[in-house]
Amino acid sequence: MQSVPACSVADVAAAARARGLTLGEVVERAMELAGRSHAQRLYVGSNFCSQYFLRQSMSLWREAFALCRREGMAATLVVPVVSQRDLAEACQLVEEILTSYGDMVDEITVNDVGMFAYCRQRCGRAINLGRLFFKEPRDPRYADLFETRHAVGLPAVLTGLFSRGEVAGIEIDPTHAALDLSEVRGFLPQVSVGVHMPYCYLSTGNVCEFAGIGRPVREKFRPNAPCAMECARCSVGYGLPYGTRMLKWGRTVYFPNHGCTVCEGEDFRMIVTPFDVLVPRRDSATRNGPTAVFRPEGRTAPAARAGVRGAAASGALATRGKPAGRDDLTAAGASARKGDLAAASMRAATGAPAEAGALAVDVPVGASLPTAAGAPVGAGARP
Amino acid sequence: MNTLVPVNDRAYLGRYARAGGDEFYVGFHDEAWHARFGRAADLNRMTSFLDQANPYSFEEVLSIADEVRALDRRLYVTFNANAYSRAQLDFLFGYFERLREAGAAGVIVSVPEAVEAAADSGLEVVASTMCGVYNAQIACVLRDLGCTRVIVPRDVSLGEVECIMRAVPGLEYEVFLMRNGCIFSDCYCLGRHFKGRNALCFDVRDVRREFFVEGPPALAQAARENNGAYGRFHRAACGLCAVWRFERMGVSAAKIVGRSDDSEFILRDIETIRRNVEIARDCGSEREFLARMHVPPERAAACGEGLNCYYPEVRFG
Repeated sequence: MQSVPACSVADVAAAARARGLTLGEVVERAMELAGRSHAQRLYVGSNFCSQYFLRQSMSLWREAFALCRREGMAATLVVPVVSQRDLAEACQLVEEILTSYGDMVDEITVNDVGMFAYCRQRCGRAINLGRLFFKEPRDPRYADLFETRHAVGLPAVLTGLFSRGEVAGIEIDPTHAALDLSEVRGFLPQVSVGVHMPYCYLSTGNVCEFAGIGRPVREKFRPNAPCAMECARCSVGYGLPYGTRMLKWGRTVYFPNHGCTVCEGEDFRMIVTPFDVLVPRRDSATRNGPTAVFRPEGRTAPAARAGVRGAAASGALATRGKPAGRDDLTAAGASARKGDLAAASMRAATGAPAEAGALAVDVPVGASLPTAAGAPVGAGARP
Repeated sequence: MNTLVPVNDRAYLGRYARAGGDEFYVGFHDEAWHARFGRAADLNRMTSFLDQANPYSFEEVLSIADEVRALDRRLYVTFNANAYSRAQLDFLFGYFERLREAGAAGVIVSVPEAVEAAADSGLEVVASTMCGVYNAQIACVLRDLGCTRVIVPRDVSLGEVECIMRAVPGLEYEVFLMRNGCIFSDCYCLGRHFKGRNALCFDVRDVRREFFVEGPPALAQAARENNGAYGRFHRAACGLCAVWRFERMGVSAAKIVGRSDDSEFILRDIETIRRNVEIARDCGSEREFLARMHVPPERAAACGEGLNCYYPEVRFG
């Protein structure tokens, strides 16, 4: 099995510019951290935020597609779930981009059934089902659930779409310590599978914390509020009491899963989002090891227990069943060295000390949990 | 606009109905489900809360359906886990027929692939908030699949609710009105909720945070102050100020969240909604309604900042 290297600047391109980096530099460093020499495809747009999708400057779109042209990369346009208020404008932007850069964009990733229907009728491009279609539970706070070799399933509703040939690919997250794609491949040998690395999305929504910066309290945290793209300059890291670390970027909370192992399947796309280039965090490969979960002494990763060759000790995605090659990292030792090199490289690139963020402000653990009237303590109540 | 009430305690059913509860919803636990799919498999969104949120077995829910029907009310049964495998869906479908026979009005489903089977069973099919109906395109797809009602996510503004309703007729619309706000989207929040450990939304507001700010120190300070307000956001939630507008829009049901909440609080919320719906029906304008509406003292204390408003735009523009 071999992974096809790709890079996603969806949701993060504006942050590159805020840090004085070109997209070319970000892509190069991200792929280097992932142990790859180059990317064959670039994902542009947004997975999670219609405000970002609409507000990313045209010069950034141009820069992204120019990079694709220069480097010979194909481009995927990524469209988020769009709120009603932005629907017409978002559809218009999709068409404008396809008109202006249609020679570069050979596929579109959508994240909801409505946009799927729209793009299928109007856009004339291959369509991928994005990561928001795949909602299997994931939560690194529960080590016993996380540290498994997870058989990736296919939502039943999609099998009909696939059988009619209306979907070209799917995108999933590194939800567990190891992903097994064999079930997906059994159903869909002709469909491309992309795995977002090295961060897994855990939660998102229409409310953006960062869009509230500088607003009066009564105007903060409105759903899908117009913003000044504060996410390009601000993000938050979390240190949870269970040994888990997380990152909030824009509206979305992610957890790092640099050690995720992908096994049992055909080729897949490794879609690298360059968070580690943009936020030199004090976790993951740079401090606490590659995994998202604190692993007590004496415990080993499930991939290793299952006999899967993996990069559980590396900062790179691991594959199985083929000798290591330039784009196929499997040997844990080599990967571990590469991970170290990658971390050092990242620090050199950012000029940051080994354990420092750009400007880190620690907020102490809060007081005991407030309790909503009638709600159970410690329970985020749900419908 | 009907008031939709969680069945957290069947002993309260009669009182809930008399207080103004028009519709009820309930989830259940089933050992057969766990025996087949494992302890971690969610039958609904709150399975991991165990009997705190799903105190009744399937057999008991069948009898609750009968009891609700005797009260001349409607019962909806929720199947709103994040995702179901094909085998799990087949298992779910076995419940539908028996629910219809017992008198349940409908089921609340979280995945499109459950719609047809539920409709074929003769049940009304409600698209859960887990379906993420954020725009008219999505509502249209769900209607065409066979849904009879959609629950609009709580992170959708009033204006957007109205736009979706206008753009996609032929559906009933249900909105969130009372209790338990959320800082994320129900639909796309994929963390677990096992009893005894915080939900993610609590954790991220109460644990050690480290801000990464690219900019001047003043921006870092502003980000930290903003985070302080974020910590107070939607600890509880209320949408009473929007009742007048929802009535005018033709919203079918206003939901009280709280399958794991205290019954006396639920009861008070039912009474408050009913009272405000009646006031709204008597008011010629939103301004008049806002002047006359009833806000319980325990909720009024949280009104000032607007951080516990489902629909802050009504009061604060």
